[in-house]
Amino acid sequence: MVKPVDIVILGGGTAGWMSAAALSRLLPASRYRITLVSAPELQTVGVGEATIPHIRYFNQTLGIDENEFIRSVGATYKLAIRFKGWGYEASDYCHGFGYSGERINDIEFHHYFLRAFGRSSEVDYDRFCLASLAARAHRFEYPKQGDSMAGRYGYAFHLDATRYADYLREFSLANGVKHILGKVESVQLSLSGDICSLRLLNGEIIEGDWFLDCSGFSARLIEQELNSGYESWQQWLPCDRAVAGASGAMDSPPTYTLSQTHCAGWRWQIPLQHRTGNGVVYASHEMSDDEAAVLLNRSVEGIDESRLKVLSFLPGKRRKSWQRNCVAIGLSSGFLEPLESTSLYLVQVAIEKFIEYLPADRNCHAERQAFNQFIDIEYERIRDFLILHYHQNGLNSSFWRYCATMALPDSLNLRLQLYDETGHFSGYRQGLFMPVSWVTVALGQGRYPQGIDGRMQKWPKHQIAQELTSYQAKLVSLVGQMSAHKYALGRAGEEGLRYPEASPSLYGFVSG
Amino acid sequence: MNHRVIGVVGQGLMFQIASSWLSRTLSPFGAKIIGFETPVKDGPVVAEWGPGLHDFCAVTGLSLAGLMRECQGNFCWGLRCNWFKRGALLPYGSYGLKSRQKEFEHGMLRMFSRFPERNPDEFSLAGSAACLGRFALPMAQWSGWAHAMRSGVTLEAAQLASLLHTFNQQLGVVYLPVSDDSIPAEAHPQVDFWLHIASVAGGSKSAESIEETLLPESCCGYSELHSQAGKTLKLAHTRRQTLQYGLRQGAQHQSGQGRYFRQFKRFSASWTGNQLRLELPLLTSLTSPFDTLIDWLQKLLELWPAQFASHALAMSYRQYADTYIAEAEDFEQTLFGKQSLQRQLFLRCGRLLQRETGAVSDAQWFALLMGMGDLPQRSSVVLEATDDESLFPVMEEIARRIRCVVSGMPEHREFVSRFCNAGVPLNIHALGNASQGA
Ligand SMILES: Cc1cc2nc3c(=O)[nH]c(=O)nc-3n(C[C@H](O)[C@H](O)[C@H](O)COP(=O)(O)OP(=O)(O)OC[C@H]3O[C@@H](n4cnc5c(N)ncnc54)[C@H](O)[C@@H]3O)c2cc1C
Repeated sequence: MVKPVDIVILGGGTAGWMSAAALSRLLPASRYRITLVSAPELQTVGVGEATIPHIRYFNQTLGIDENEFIRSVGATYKLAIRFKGWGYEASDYCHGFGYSGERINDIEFHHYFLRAFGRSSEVDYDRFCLASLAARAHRFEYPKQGDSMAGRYGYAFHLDATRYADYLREFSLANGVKHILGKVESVQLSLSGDICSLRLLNGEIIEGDWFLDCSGFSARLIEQELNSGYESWQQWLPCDRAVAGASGAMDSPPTYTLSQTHCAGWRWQIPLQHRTGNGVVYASHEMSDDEAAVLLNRSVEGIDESRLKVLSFLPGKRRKSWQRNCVAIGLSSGFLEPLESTSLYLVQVAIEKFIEYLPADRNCHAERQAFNQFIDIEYERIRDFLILHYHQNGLNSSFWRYCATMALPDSLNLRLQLYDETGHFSGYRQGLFMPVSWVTVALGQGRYPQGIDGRMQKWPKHQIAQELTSYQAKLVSLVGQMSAHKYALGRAGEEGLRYPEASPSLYGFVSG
Repeated sequence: MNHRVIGVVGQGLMFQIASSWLSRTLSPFGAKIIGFETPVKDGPVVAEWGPGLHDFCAVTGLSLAGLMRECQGNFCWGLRCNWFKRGALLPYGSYGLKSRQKEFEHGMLRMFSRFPERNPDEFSLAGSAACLGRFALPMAQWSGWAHAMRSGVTLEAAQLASLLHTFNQQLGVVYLPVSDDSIPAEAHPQVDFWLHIASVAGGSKSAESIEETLLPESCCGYSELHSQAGKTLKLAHTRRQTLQYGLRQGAQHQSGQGRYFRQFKRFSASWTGNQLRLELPLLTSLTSPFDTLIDWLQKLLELWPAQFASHALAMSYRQYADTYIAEAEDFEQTLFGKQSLQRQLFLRCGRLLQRETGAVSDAQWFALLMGMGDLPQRSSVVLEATDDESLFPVMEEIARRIRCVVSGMPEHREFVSRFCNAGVPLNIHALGNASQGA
């Protein structure tokens, strides 16, 4: 009999258990043995609570029942992220999981919007996105498949990260994953430099063929042993700390994650069924931990002060996520702040790619190179999108002034110049955020292009404005027909409720 | 619209195609197209056009049937390579029957590792139909298989160019003859944007006319890359003529008897001020220059500005075109033996790198690598959970259904003749109603 391949996962946080669940569900048990090692004395980060629609695709691939999942992890539905105070004091826009308007005559919708309402708009661009409108109204309904208006959005969840990890642990154990409790004390490398085994504090040795480093910020294997290196992006994303705490559940939970700026960063609010997750993200050279805690207390009623958690991080990316026979997944591979709830997505795509490329032997230069190339592109494109949020502002504090004037990465510079001059954001095939997302943030934060599509002059402004206004009225009436979020959550508790098929897209469906 | 006048500079088929496309897409917005026509040079006699032709027809309102009829067209499932070790066709369409059959190609790989004599073409509608000389468009009973049935055409180039010239005049394109393409922009201040189309033939014109009856039976429904005695010939057939030319990779450029050899000539795009210059060699081994042109025109419209003299626009367009070129070249060079990362990755795990443009499809890459005899060391690990006894009957069933669909298709010739003679007019859209209001 051929010896099974041993895959050892180090870390029992969300990344570790997502990996264990996926590998144990998708790889044949007769050929692969999955072991997960975690140290109970080392805490997990445990704050990954806001997700994007890809999480549904992950659950679907694993065969997880969505309603059971919602009940188990105390999840609520999520249709958008609401940004308040980003760009300028009074700003308030939603980045919804759906398209704003439709392409007409092969021209993106925002050109019509800009032609109709221009700069001094009384109407906001996000008001043409059904998901955003519903989110503001704290409503929820499944997208109606095939319906050009009521079907063009996706949804995600707010979830309790600890419960999610527990849920996936149960799932993984039931699928044959071996869980070993213990802290890795040392790591044995072979002559070639590959990892052979992990030695725990109690002396136990765990051998493996492949090692997934899900050890969080400590990057115990990929960095401490294999010295992959880290590329800091702090010059563009200056926040490096967060203080997180919980408050009571909301009476009418919104279907959005709230992100609101303060003088040295921003704060989040995430409604769960049983509590509300809150946190302040800040730049430590501008704000102390105590000041952040005070800010959190002042902003949110009923914070449990005894259980505040302070977390520090360095935005950036591991130079090589896959080094030798070790693949970093989760916080060990890099950190992009949760402004657009992308961390669990990055965990998910790394797992998917690892399974796709899983090599037959250690001579895996091609797989490694292809994987690292893929991860680099994902990270860099999300990074640029996040930087736009910070950079586009006219706020008046030293933190925000720095962000407004900082030198940008070349890729983002070109992207923004193109938009400024022509009104277009160039699309890409690999990457999370399509032009509609870029436009939502740019317009939401008051960045208007100098020019728009050259064809738009054909139509008189008032004619487009009239059409758009009536389109928007239809959207508003669709929102009126949706259920209150709380009611929709209650419905998810009913047995046998059918939910729509998931797709790996931020906008609910894959075009083309 | 602030740009009322677009100057298209060039000659020949590419020039006419670009003029039609821009006229159809921009005149509804008030633009006027002026065609600055340089003296017509000889070009290849046959135009090979992939699925981009369907987009062209949809935009211009010209009927595929009309073009096929007037230009002696043949349909084309893809390109057949006679030296391939496994399979033969680089198909335009996908493998399997449905567009999103997860891991289908990996099911094929599993079969080939167990039964090396099996042929990828059995699992492709296009490959199977090309083998049997059958053809159909994804209409009527075939409409469910659109993705697997993507196809191209081969048309008589001169005929198509002259037809488009007339069509463009009807659309209102004004032609001005010029002696060469170095037109001083100051002489035409009314032109807001210049598009230069340089279609480089890559060699002197040569083609062999062959009587329809003399065409080998096997030539129905595909073009060919034929390798013989160290030389690689490209063959493309209309109903009346066959185009042959030799391909070589070196810098040397030779004319052969009745054939011409060319070195790889790069596509290129450069944008300065309000002038965009596209260089599109007419003779390519794999990537159709016409598909490239349509793709690049689509990109141009996607970024259509209010002011053309934009540095960022020029850079972004150039970046896109360069990526497209790199992806097309990677494919082409892999065919001629280059060890690309794409090939190494495929050899290891049967996967393909993510690409940024539509220059080459997954199916084409897969067919190419299979054709070169590459069998990956391993296929999908997820499929490993399904044993051969369960997997192979599913694959056989799909192959059987493909055979069944193909056997219901008419002979290629018969389909072409019925299609061309169905009385569909060349210009289906009444002029001037291409675009309604917002
Ligand atoms: C402030 C903040 C807010 C966030 N918000 C979001 C959000 O809204 N949405 C989102 O998607 N993501 C968010 N994230 C990211 C998200 O929390 C993480 O991506 C996710 O929790 C995965 O973490 P992890 O499993 O990689 O690491 P961790 O949770 O840190 O887990 C590390 C594991 O490794 C184990 N370990 C470490 N060293 C050893 C050792 N030597 N021996 C044995 N075991 C060891 C630990 O015991 C632990 O189990 C946020 C992150 C932060 C910091």
